[in-house]
Amino acid sequence: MQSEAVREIKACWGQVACGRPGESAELERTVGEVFVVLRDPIYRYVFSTVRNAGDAEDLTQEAFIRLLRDLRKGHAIENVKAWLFRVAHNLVIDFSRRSPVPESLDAAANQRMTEEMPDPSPSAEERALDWASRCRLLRTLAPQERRCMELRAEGLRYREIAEILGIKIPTVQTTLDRAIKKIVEQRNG
Amino acid sequence: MDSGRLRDFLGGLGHPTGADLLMYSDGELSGRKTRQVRKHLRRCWQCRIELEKIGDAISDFIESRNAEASQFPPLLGWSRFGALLRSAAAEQVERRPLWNVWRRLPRPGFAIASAAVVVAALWLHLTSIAPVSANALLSQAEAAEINASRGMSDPVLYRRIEFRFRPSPQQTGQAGAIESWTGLKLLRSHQRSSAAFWPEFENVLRRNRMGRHPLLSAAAFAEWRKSLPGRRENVSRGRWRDGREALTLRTIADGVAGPGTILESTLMVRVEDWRTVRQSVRVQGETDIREYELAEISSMVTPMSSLDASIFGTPTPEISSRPAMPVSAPVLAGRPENASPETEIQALYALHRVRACLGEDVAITRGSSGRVFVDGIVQSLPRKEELLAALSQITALEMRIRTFEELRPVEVPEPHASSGQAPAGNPVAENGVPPIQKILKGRISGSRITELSNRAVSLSESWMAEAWALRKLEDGFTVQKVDKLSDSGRKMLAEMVRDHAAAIYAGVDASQAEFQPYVAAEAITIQESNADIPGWPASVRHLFDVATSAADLTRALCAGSSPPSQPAGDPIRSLAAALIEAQAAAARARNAADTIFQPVTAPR
Repeated sequence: MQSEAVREIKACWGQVACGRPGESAELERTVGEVFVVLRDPIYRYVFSTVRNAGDAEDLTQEAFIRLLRDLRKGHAIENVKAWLFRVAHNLVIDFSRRSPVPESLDAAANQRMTEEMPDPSPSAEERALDWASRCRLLRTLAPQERRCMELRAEGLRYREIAEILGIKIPTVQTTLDRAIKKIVEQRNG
Repeated sequence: MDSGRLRDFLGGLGHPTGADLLMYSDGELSGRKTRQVRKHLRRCWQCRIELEKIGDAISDFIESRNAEASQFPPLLGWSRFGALLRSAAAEQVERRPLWNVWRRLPRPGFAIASAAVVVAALWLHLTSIAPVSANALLSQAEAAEINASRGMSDPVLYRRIEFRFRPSPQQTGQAGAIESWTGLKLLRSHQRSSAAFWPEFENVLRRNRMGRHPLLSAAAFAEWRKSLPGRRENVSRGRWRDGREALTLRTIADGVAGPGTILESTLMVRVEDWRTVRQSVRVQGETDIREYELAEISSMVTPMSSLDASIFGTPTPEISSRPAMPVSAPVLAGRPENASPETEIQALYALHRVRACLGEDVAITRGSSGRVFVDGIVQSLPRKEELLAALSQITALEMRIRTFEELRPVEVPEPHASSGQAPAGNPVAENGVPPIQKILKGRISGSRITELSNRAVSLSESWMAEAWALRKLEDGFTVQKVDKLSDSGRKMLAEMVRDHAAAIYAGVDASQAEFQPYVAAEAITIQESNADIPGWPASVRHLFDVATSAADLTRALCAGSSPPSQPAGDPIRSLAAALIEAQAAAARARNAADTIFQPVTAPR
């Protein structure tokens, strides 16, 4: 479904470049379909940094609106998914400069959640990690490590991650390696 | 991984590094290196274990971030995106080819053309605005309706509307007034009018697909227009009664007939802010053409927190003393004793996973034959598909989920509209300025106080949606009913309880952090009388009570509404204490979910 949407975007871009009538409505429909496919991955990525559902929702929507605007201007977008993540990343960086991440939903919230909400449930054995250890695990990672892991988790290649974050491919490799080692250490207690 | 493993393994003498193994599992190594690592892995147990550890670490990360994301879903469930997209699509696009032609002009031509453009622009500016298409006009007006909601957590547009009616062209007209409240973010609306012809007009709106949207809105007009089999229309310039420029879209319906059908409608939009200010409707009567006209008299945007909670609907009947439930959670109805609860818990769990338990009109019911139905009306086709996909694995389930679009006009329910019935509250804050404005005045800026208030009210609404969903679970699953559940069903129920409790915890925690800087330094003590509440139903009920109390205090402090009981002393301190109590209750309720697995000792 995703590749179909991407193909359709490319096809529509061709129509925009040719200036065919009805292009706007078709692009609107296609971007709407891409939105359904990619909104959750983009939202998760944005939320992992801004830590606020309302802001993450607004920034996610803004990324897709920018996709529509760029396509209507006739810009070529080879890889829609990577493009959206890059735009979302830039939006997040701009947002973070304006509004620092609230302490309440980040370390403090997770810290308190960890201390006060242990999960002694017998069914927890079915989960890979309980709530507390999940919080600890995510807190272990530095922001850049978390971003690399998030993007890799969404299926992006190292080259794409490097482009999105504006870093070199070897840096992506070492960052992911470091993040994995931290998680392994965390698992080993 | 020890230092020996870091040696280069290309010669086949050492082990691949951790980074190499990760790149191998990610398919990022070159073909030659991939073959070398694969060959090495075939003979090296240690590296196979290292590779498994990497897989386990990835798995842990994925589960953790998914769990985190599920705790904080989008607040509005993407309901605004369609309108944002339409608005963006209606924007003017820069025409690059024209610019290229411009740049290719020779210098004298460039100067003449520049002068001509300046003159033309001045003339256009001084004379009038350029006419727009019907689509562009409606898109701009719809976008303006959405933009009006920015900067406020849950704004409500209140309007007084002049309402005129003429039964036939030969008869004298009648006049009345309508008051309209529109929740701009959650798409709720309520109207009331004392005019005798108002109920008739409401029926006309419902029948012609205008009933789902607020009165005098571009969205309502657009929905009716889209439903027409054919139409003729034009946009003309004019002026609103205050002298400001306006555009009027006139749409004549083709191919429609029958009493109650709208034959023609006009919509006037003020150009300055793209606000719809007047609408006229010509309706086919039994013998004559009936004419209605709506014209805005005044309007204001006010936070939802300043209104009575029941303005958009009556409180749920079983808990009449509680604030109105903002949205309906999936509920169980029918005859529970006739059917196994297993299918219902599976359906509830599936809906829970896609967050349909918080904000959508989705209900689970049982028929007389024991068949289970899922009925719902959702915003969009993608959302419908999402719900159907979530429920598709459950057998013996009949789904009747429709989008607003799919509803026939006559079927469109209007649960929040009540003609002639006065709402319970006043649209403005009862006490004028909210207490928080006075308490924090001088300590932080006015805009920061407003921001703090909006965020606090928004958070309280979020945790109350979770609290209602939790309460519904508790209502729907008695101890006897839980006893009939399989282990798998109990796990689903426990997970739902934990999820809602954790979400309430997080919301309350965020609110507490907002107010923490303004609470006096001395420790806050809370009454711990309910510290040892046994069982999940009691814990859930207690959590609901304290979460409601904290939400009431939040609204009282930040919006000036009157709480059921106002504690004495510093209101921020009282709220902080209530939040701490709610946090503790959420933690207990989450842990109490474990009692779902305990055998039944006594009926509830």
